[in-house]
Amino acid sequence: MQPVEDAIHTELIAASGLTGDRIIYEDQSRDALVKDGGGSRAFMTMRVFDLIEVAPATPRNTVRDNPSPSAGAEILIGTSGDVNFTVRVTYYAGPASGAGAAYTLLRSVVRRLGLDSVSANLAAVQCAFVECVGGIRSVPTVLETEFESRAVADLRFRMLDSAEAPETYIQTVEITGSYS
Amino acid sequence: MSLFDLGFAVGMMATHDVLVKRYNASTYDANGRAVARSTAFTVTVRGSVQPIAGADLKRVAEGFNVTDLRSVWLTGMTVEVQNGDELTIGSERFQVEHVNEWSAAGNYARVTAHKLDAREI
Repeated sequence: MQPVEDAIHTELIAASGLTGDRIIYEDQSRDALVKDGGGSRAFMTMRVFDLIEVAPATPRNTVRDNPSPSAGAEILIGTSGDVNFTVRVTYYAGPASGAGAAYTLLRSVVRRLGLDSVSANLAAVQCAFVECVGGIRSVPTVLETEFESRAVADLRFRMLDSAEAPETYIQTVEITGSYS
Repeated sequence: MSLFDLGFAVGMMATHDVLVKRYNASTYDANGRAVARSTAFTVTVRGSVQPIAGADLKRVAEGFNVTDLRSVWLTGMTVEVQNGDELTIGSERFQVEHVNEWSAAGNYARVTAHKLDAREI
């Protein structure tokens, strides 16, 4: 999952112009971000949730020769399946309006996720952007004494989740009792 | 607000050496994940560790286990204890979540702290 998270994070950096340390994961039990060196309060948060296997009853199982076999690890047994998941992205733009408002900025971020170049980068980690569920919501608030522009969007992705483990052949079978 | 300097009395009742640790603000790496916080300072003070009082339960955030809470009277402080400071009492770590700070009356304070899981940093 981490390569997929990092790939999405990288695309959000490119789309938003924010630095990587200002696009952070939620629920880390840490301090909120403060203004950066340039005095901007803008940052984004990501929350990955709602992972649902598309067809859990029909996983794709594979068996193949281990390209670098060793005793007890002659074959590789694998399984893979498509998984849908949602990334909730929240843009905190600080006291900005117009072109600097969170809604406008997040809209440009989501629009960029549909580019072919982004699709290729995500495909490299077997992931694809599917849709923005429910559109982008503007959720501004008053933070202490200042207005803060905020926007949130639920982005739906699909990835191929796969795992492979080394195994060995069954070499002998011992039968006790009768056999027919 | 306390009327008397109870620092001496707290010192007489002190049961533990309490290590007070304060962390620097959180930082995040280039991938958006929090990195381990660095320590701003540590200081050892004397403390009287007691069960939580009923009135303190009203302040406790939902989900905190009452048995994981302590009321600690501190004295001999060279810095004022703040919310978020970490206390090491014996072999267990606690995080301060509420401070009754009476430095105007004397060098003592009463804090409510909850126990930290071994994985929490």
